[in-house]
Amino acid sequence: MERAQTFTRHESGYPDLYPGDTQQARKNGRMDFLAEFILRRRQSKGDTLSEPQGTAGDTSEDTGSAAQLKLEGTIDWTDLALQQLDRVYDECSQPAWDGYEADPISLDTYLEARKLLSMIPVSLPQPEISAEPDGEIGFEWYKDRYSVFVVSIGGNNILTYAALFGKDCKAHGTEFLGRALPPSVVPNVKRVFT
Amino acid sequence: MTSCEALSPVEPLARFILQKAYFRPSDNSVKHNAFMPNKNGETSVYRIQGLADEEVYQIGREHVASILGRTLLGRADVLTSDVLELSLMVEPEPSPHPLHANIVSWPDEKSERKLLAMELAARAQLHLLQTS
Repeated sequence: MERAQTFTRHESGYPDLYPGDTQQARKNGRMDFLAEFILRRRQSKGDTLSEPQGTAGDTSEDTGSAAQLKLEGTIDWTDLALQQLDRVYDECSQPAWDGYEADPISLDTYLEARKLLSMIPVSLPQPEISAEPDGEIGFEWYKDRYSVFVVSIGGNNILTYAALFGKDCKAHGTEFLGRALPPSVVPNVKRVFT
Repeated sequence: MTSCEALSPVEPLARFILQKAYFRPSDNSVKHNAFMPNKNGETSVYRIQGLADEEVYQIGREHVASILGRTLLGRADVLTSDVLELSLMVEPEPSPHPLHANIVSWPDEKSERKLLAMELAARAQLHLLQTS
């Protein structure tokens, strides 16, 4: 299978997501990766847990329990985003997935999207993840038609972004996606929602 | 090809939608991906001036969805003037159908194309087909 062949190029750097390329194995691989991903996120972003979260169901009056609930809210955000990313990859990894001439999402792009996702502070609203017709994966923060910020990556360490901040204010550009989140992301997301 | 002068600025153009990820049901809005150009720098649209809804969808079903083996979900309509105001062009390209056209003159830079597609999407009117 194409995925198994492609994946061998990454076996030293990423978890074995699709051993044998069976559906169950893929699910198992994803669960293992998800567990590791959440653990890394909790370790590396422990400071963000004290930030205000839009945690649903935080009805506890006990501060210790409240902290625990905030942590759960963080995990939910990540979990949902990862599920959405996996779904997008499943649905759009074949050519012409949009009915026109869309390029398929490559494994490189998928893995880079996971990397980008791990960099996004959980204090930001959850982005909506979708495939772009050129095979890139887009992360969108949407408030209304004229308040929207979109970034996309295509497996080449380049992040492309565009934003509408009202009818007359807009921005666009590209940045290198290295080990840290490019500086354009957080301010632009916050600007959409202010 | 004919130049965009053949089109009236108030002429509506329909972009047929075959992918549910190209719109937001929550507020009936269109996502920019629906208007992003293909590898040839073209966004395929149909000129629908004076056509009844069912005639428009008939074109979408017969000349877009069925050819591609997909289900037609709806369409995103923009005016020709919306396209021209963004410094894009509309070129009639009637080989697949007399009313077919392409939105062209997309910039080379991807971030700029993305921004223009976002602006088109913001101006677009979404029409969804009822599906059972």
